[in-house]
Amino acid sequence: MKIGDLPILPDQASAGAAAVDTATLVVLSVCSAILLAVLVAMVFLLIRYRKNSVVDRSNPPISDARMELTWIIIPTLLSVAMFWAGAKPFYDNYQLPTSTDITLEVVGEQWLWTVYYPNGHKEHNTLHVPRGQRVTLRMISQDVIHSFFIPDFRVKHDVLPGRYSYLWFEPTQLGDFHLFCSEYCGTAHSKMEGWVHVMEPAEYSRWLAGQKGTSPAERGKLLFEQSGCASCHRGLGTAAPRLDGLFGRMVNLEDGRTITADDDYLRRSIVEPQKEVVAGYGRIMPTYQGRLTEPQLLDLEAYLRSLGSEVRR
Amino acid sequence: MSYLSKSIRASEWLFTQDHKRIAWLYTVSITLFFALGGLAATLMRLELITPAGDLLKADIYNRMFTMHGTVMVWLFLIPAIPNTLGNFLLPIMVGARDVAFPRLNLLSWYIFMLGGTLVLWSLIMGGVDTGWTFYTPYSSTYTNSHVILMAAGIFITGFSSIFTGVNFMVTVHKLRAPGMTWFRLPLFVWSMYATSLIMVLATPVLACTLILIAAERLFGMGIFDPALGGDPLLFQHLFWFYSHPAVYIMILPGMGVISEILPCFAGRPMFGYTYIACSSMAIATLGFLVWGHHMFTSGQSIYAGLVFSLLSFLVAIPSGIKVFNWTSTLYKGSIRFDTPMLYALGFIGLFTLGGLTGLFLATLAVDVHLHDTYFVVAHFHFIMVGGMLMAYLGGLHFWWPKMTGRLYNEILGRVSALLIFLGFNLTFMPQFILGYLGMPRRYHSYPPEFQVYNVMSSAGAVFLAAGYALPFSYFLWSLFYGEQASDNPWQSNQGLEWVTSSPPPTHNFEAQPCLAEDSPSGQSPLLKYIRLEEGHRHG
Repeated sequence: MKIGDLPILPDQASAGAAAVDTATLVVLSVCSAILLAVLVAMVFLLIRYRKNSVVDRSNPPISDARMELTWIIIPTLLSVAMFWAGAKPFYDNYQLPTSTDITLEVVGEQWLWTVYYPNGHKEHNTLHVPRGQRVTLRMISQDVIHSFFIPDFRVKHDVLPGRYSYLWFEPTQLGDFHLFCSEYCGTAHSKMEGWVHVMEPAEYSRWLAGQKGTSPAERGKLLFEQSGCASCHRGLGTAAPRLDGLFGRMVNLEDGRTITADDDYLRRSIVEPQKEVVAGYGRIMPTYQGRLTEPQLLDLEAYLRSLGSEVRR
Repeated sequence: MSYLSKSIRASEWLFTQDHKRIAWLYTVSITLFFALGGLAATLMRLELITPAGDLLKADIYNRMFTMHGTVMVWLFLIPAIPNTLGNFLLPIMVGARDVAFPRLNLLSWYIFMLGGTLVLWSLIMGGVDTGWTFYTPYSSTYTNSHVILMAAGIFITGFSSIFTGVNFMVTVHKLRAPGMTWFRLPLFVWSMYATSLIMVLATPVLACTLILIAAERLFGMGIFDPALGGDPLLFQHLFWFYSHPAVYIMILPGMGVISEILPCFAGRPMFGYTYIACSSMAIATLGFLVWGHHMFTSGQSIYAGLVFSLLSFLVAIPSGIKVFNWTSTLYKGSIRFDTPMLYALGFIGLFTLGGLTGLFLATLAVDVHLHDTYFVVAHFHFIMVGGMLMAYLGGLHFWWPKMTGRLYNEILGRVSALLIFLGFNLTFMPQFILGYLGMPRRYHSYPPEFQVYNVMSSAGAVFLAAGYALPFSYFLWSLFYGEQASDNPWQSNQGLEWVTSSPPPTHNFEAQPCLAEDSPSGQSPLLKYIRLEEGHRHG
C-alpha cells in the first residue's frame, strides 16, 4: 500500500498475510487508544494546573485504590485480548499444514540461498512458486543461523544449522516479492536477498518441466553407493539395519526409547550415528559430519524416503 | 567544606572513597563511551542515506553496529544512571554518609575501566562483527574478529555491575537514617534497589555465557555449534536470560529519576507512591520470565512461544501503572516547566510509545513479521534513548546544581530538551514504518524502496547529535562560570538531598538527618519532617 509514492504497508500476497495485519490492527487500536488517553490527559492537566492558573488545588489526592485497580484490571483484560489476537493466527499459520502441495528444500549458507525442486532443479536466491498452492519449505543452514523472510507474505523463520526448520505459505498474488535473510550472518548478510516469483499454476508447471535435473532420490542413490553406505546397509550383511521402509516408521533404540524416523532422525543418524543406535546393532558406523554437505544429506534422505514403500527382502 | 573543594589533586580523585567523587569518575567515563558509541551510530546513519553500501565496506559497517551496540549497552546504558546519579544520590537520599562499602565502590570503577579498556582494545585491534548479541555459531566458530577480547571486557565490566548492585542493596538495608522506613524511601531508591536485584541475579548468567563462547572458540568445545555437537539455540536462551532483564537494568533507573522530577515540578507529592514502588519490584521479578519473546521465530516450541507471549504482556502492566500514576500526579499540581520537567515529560511520551510498540512484538503473529526488522530497532531505541537517555539527561539537569553547586543556562536547557525530543522522533519514528515494510536490521545496503525513510532517519540524527552537544557545552561552561546554586534551587518539598548544602559536604550532612515519627508512610520524605540532629551524628 502506498500514499502517493510513499510505501506504508507491504502487499498482502499470501493467504496468511491478512490475519497478521488484522492482529496488528487490533494491537494498534488498543495502543493508540491508550497513548491518546495518556497524552490528552497529560496536556489537559499540564494546561489546567500550570503554575499561575487560578484553579481549585485543595486536597490533592495521594492515592486511590479504585483507580489503581482500574488501571491494573482493564490493561490486563486488554492484554489478554491482544495476546489472543496474535496467538490464534500464530497457532493456525505457523504450524505445518496437514497437507502440502509442494515441498521445496532450502539451504542457507554464507551468503546465498539455494532452493532445490523435487525434479532436481536448483536455483540461487530465487524461488518460483505457483499461486493458490500450499508451499512448504524444509530449510537448513550449512553454517551459521540465517532467517528466511518474505515481508509480503508475513512469514519468517530462522534457518538453523544441524536441524530442519519449516515454513509454509500460500501465495495469492502474481508477481515478484522480496525475500531477505533477516538474521545477521556475517559480512554480506545484506546481500543474502532475492525474489519470490509467483506464477499461475499452469505456467509454473511449464516452467518447471523446462528445467533439467537429476531427481534428488537418484542423486541420493548414487551417493549411497559412493559413500560406502551400501556396503553395510544393503546386501546380506547383518551388521547394520536395513533401510527400506524405514522412513516414517517407529524405531526402537538401544537405550529403550522409541523414535519416529523422520527427516531430522535420518539426518542425525548420518552425522551423529553414535547418538541414537537402533536396538540390536553395534556402535560401528563412522560419523559423516563434515564429509557430506547439507544438499547431499537432503539427497540421501530423498533416496531413503523413496525406499519407503518397498517390501523388506 | 564541600566534597568538591576538599582537594583537587588527581590522586584525591583517583583514590577517593567518597561516593560523590566516584559518581563523577563514572560520569566522565561514560560520557567518553557515549561519544564513542555515538560516533559509530553517526557513521551508520551516513552509510544508510543511500541504498548502496558505498561509504563503508560491509565489514566496517558490521563492526560499527557491533561497536555501537556493545559500547552503548555495557559501557553507557547499564552504568549510566546507577553509577552516576545513583552513586551520588542513593546514600544522600537514605541519609547515610556513604555507601556501605566505599572501597568496593572505588574498585567497581576500576574494574569497569579495565573492562572498558579491553573493549576499546578489541576495537583498536580491528573490532568485532557479531552484533552486540553474539549469536552462535557465528560468534563461536565462524567470525575472525576479536570476540574473545571483547567478551573478556564485557565479562569484567559485569563484576562492576554486581559490586554496585551489592553495595546499593546493603546500603538500603543497613544505612537508612533513623525514621527512614522502607515506605518512606524516595522512589528513586526503590528503583535503584530493584535494579540492583537484577544486576546481582542476572549478570552471572551473562558471565557464564561469555565464558562458554570463549571456550568454544579457544578449545572447540561443542556447546553451541551443532557441527561440534552443540545447540545454537542454547546460546540464545542463556543470552536473553540475562539480556532481557538487562533491559530493565537500563530503564528502571530512568523511571526512578522521573518519579523524583515529576512531584517536584508538579509541586505536590507523587500519586500512588506504594504502587510505583511495588511496580518496580514487579518489573524486576517478571522481567526474568519473558526472555523467550526474543525467540518466537527461532524454532523454539510453539507452546513456549504462547507462554512467553502472555508473560510479556503481563510485564507491561507494572510499566502501565507507573505511566498512569505519573500522569495523575499532575492533577491539582502547580506545574512549572523548567528544563528537568521538560525532559521528564518528554520521557513519559516517548517511553509510553516505546512500551506500547513493545506490545506489537509480544503479539505472536505480528512479531513473526516484525522480528529482526527496523521496527524492533525503533522500539528499543524509544525505550533506551527516548526513555533512559531522556531520564538521564533530565536527572543530570535536576541534580546538577546539587552536584556542582552551580546553575546552568535555563533557556539553553529548554532548547536542548526540545531539540532532543524532536530530533529523536524524526530519527526513530520512520523506522517503525520501515520495519513493517520489511527492512531487516543490520543491513549495510538495502533495496531502493526503503530509501525515503532512511533519509528521514539520518536527517533526524543530525538534530539529535546537536541536541546532545548542547548540554555538554553549557554544563562545561556552568562548571566554571555558572551562578552559585542555593541548597534547594527547585524549591522541592521532598527529599533529603535538598536539606544539605549544594554541593554537599564530604560526609553529606552536617549532622545526622532523621525523619520525624509522624512523617507519613507511603510517600517520599517531606522536608518539614526532616531534622538534622547533632546528637545522632556518627563518626
